[in-house]
Parts: sequence; structure tokens; C-alpha cells
Amino acid sequence: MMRFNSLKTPLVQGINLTKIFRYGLIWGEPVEAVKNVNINLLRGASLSLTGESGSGKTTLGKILLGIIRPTSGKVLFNGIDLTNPKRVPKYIRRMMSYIPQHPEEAFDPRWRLYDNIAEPLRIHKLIGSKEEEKEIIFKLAEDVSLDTSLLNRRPFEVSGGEIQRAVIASALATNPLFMVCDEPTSMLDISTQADILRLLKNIRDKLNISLLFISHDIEIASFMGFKIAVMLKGRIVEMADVDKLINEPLHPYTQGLLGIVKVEYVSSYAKNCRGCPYYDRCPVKMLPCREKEPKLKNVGGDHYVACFRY
Amino acid sequence: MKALSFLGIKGKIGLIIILFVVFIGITAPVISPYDPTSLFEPFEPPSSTHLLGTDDVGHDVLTILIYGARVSILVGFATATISTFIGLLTALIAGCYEGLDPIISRILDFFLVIPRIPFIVIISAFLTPNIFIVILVLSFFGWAKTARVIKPLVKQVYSREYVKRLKCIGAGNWYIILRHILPATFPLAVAQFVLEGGHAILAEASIGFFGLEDPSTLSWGMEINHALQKSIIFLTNIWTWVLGPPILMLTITLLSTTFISIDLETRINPRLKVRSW
Repeated sequence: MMRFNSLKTPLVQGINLTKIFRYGLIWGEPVEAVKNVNINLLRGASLSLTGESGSGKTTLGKILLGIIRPTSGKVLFNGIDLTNPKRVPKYIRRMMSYIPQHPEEAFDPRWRLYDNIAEPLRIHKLIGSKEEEKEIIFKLAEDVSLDTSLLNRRPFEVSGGEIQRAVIASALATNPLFMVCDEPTSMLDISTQADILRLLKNIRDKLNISLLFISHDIEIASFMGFKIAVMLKGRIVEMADVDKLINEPLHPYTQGLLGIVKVEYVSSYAKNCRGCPYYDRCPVKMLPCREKEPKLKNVGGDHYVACFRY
Repeated sequence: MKALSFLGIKGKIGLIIILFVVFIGITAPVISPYDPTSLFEPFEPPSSTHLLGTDDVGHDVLTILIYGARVSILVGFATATISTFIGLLTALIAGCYEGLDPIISRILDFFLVIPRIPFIVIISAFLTPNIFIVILVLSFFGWAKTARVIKPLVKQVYSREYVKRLKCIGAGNWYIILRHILPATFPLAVAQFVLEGGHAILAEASIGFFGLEDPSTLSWGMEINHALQKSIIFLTNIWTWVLGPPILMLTITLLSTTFISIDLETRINPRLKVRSW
């Protein structure tokens, strides 16, 4: 069994990740969902991914979880190669969890909430008896402030916020080291969103879980992460500590997301582009932006930006 | 009781009829008025001794009807079981293993294109036609339709978010198939089971009608075949008790299976429900 107590070794590493989807029967028009992305996530660290719809956030999250195989690049989980989803050892899977965007689709609708929450424990055979299982499930429900009387109900018999709490409880069942939250609050009302975000933050701090938080809302993303990465058309265009990025955004796209600069909305369909992916909308584009794609570079203080202006 | 409440009026009527047919098939030796090999005066009209009269050979028509139910139910149930099992298994594999789907789909296309009855005629020319050969041949074709119907549902369930979540946390493919996908496809599989059973009963009757079965088989199709060989029955009213009952029993049995499967399919997919304005 690998030991995961090094604070300096990245827990999750994505090296030059690219994912191209092909659509169509014969000609297969390619779509670059993720392009040349490098990610390092330390134990207990928290990274938020933000960007418009279709920027590749969910695809990147699933690649790092080993659900989708990248077209090129590598995924390492504490040094273990996760690039091929079919070859990921089961004990590694126990250390990961995933909270999907639609809470009502996160569980089997035919099963009670109790069985859905207990399922990860049953898959990994982590419980000895029914009594032990009941004790663990009730404790998890308490931790996420879920009324235990709801555990006998089915997902369609409870509210969105209650299902999301149950999903979080299920995600915590195996004491994971790495969790991907894919827009966990986008389908909830404002007050429930705040509750769930606070819950996730408390869990992250208490259990020292490495969190990859995905949200199209930059404000929610900044609330959850220590670091924040902005994605556009499959590329990371800016990455920095939350305070630095919110107060001093450098990339024109990030400035647009924060409302500093007015941005004209165009289709979010990620197409191949030779130059900068933001060329068509950028208010400060330059001549090289059309022909060459800017690389992500450190402009000082662990602040990375992919723009020829820096 | 919960299963019964799932069915509508049509389904309940169909279920009662099919259970009645199964009952008379199972209890044939007990409830039948005579032994099926007993011979009486041919073409006797219905009377108190022979409620439905006698046929061209002298068999009691009611006795033949009751024993014919056994053959129909046996063929229907056996064919439906084999077809549904193989079809469901094929659909699960094709739906969950993307790489195998194109190959399996082409195999399904091949089996769906071949017409059943002409193929059975050809087989009968080479093999001794008995009830087990009929079951085997009907099952040989029946599974493809079941697989074709169930496969899209398997793919739909397999692409759901909770399945991706389970794969992420380490659930194997067969765990997901047995614990989640199979229960989700079960209602549709039951509907297909009933429908396939009805088709098999009709196909078996057709085989008997064409005289391709073992002549000693006591089936409704063979009874119709024997009756039609004597064209004299149409010159009098003999056809009403010699031809009518087996056709009526066949029709009622087929209607019952159709009612049940339509009712089940409408419940599974409410968009199939025909609205009355």
C-alpha cells in the first residue's frame, strides 16, 4: 500500500493532457476538449477550475479521475499511472470520489438513499456487519447535516439540496484523498448553494482532502479554492492564488469573466484554432495572437498567464 | 399483488386469460373428459357426451383443445425463456462494451432479416419435426428481436451519471450490470418475454397448420390442419365445432399475450400510450 503523507509530492498530476473527441461516422470532425494542460495538486490542496460552458473543465476533471482516457499525456496519482482507466487498481479508486453536476442523476433512482450512500463501502467490502454499516451511514448523514429519517426515501422523494448532501455523504464514505466536485451547486437555489459550499469547505479543511472544484461561476470558484485556474477552449489561460487572480486578473478573458471588461458572447463550441483561443473576442489582441498560440508562463509569484502581452 | 397493481385493465384481462390457459394445460389429465387417444364416431355434433363434438378421426374436440393448450404453453414458455435470456445477455454485452456493439449489431441485423417460417420449413425437410426442434428453431430467431429492443435502454442506463460515478469509485462492469442495469431493463424484458411467447405460440400453430410437425402432436395448429384436409366440413356446419374452437383458443391466447405486453410497454414508456380525446 502506498503511503500518501508527503506534503511536497503532488497527489494528483496531469502532464501535458490532451483530449480530442471525434464526431461523425467516417470523417470524424475533431474537437479539442482539453489541450496541453498541466496540473499539480498537493495533498490537502484545493484547485478551482472555472470558465464558460464547453471550456473542458468537466472533461479535465474526468481525465484526472481516470474515467476518461486522454488522447495524449499522463495522469499520475501519487506516482501511479491512471492514464488507462481500465488498468486503475481498485484500491486507488477507493481514494477518489466524484460529485456530479446533477444530484438527481448521481444515484440509482430505484435504491433508497441509505443503499446509495452505503454502496461505495459495499463495493470495497469495507464493512463487516449490517450494524456496523448502519452506524457508519448514520454518522455520515450527521456529518453532512442530512436528516436520518430521509435515508429510507428514494432520490425522487427528497429535495435537490438533500440529495446533494447524500451524494457528499456517499463521496466521503471511503475516506477519499481526492475529490472532484463538478458544479455541485449549479442546480440548487441560492440559499441551498451557500449551505452546500460551506459544507464542502468544512469537509475539505477537516479531512485534508485534495479538492478539484469545477464551476462556471468565478465567484463560487474563488470561494472554494486556494488556487484558481481559468479555462478556455480546453486550455488553461490563467492560474494563480485566488486573491491574486480576483484582484489582479491579467488575461483579457479572466477580466471579462470578472466583469472588468465587456465581452461579446460567442458560441462555446471548442473548435481547433491556430492562434490564441480568445482572438475572436479579445479587445486588446495583437498581431502575433492570430498566428501563434501563447504558452502559459509564470509572470511572478506563482501567477501563470497565457498571453503575449506579458 | 404489487405486480398486479402495475398492470392496467387490459393487462389484467390478458393475465387472467393466459393463467386460465396455463391452468388447463397443467391440469389436462385431470380436467379432460376423455383420454386423448380415445376414438369415437367422427364428426359428431356437440352434445352432452361430447361438449364440442368430435373431429374427422373421432377424437373428442374438447379433449384435443385441452391437451393442445399444453403444447402451446410449453412451446411459448420455453421459446420465450430461451430467447429472452439470450437476447437480454446480448443486449447487456452490446450496450456496456462499446467495442463489441458494432459486431453484435451486424449479427442482430442478419438474424432479423431471415424469415422464421420458411426457415423452419427448410429445417423440417432435414430434421424429424418434434416439439423440441420447434422450440430450438424458434428460439434461434427470437433472441435477436429481444436484444434489439432492450439494447437502447441498456445504453441509456449505462450512460447515466450514477454509473460513471460508480465506475470512478471502483465498481466493475459486471457489478454495475447485475446490480443496476439488469433491474432497470427487467420490466422491458418481461414485456418482451410475453410478446415472444405469443409469437412462438403463433409460429408453432403455423407449423402445425402447414403439417410440418410430428403428426401425433396434439396441438391447435395440427387440429386446424386435420380439419382443413376435409373440405366437406365447409359444406355443412361441421366446421363450427371442428375448426372454430382451436382458432378461437389460439386467437384468445394471442390476444392475451398482446394485451399484457402492450400494457407493460405503455407503463414502461408512457409516450406509447394512445390518448383518447
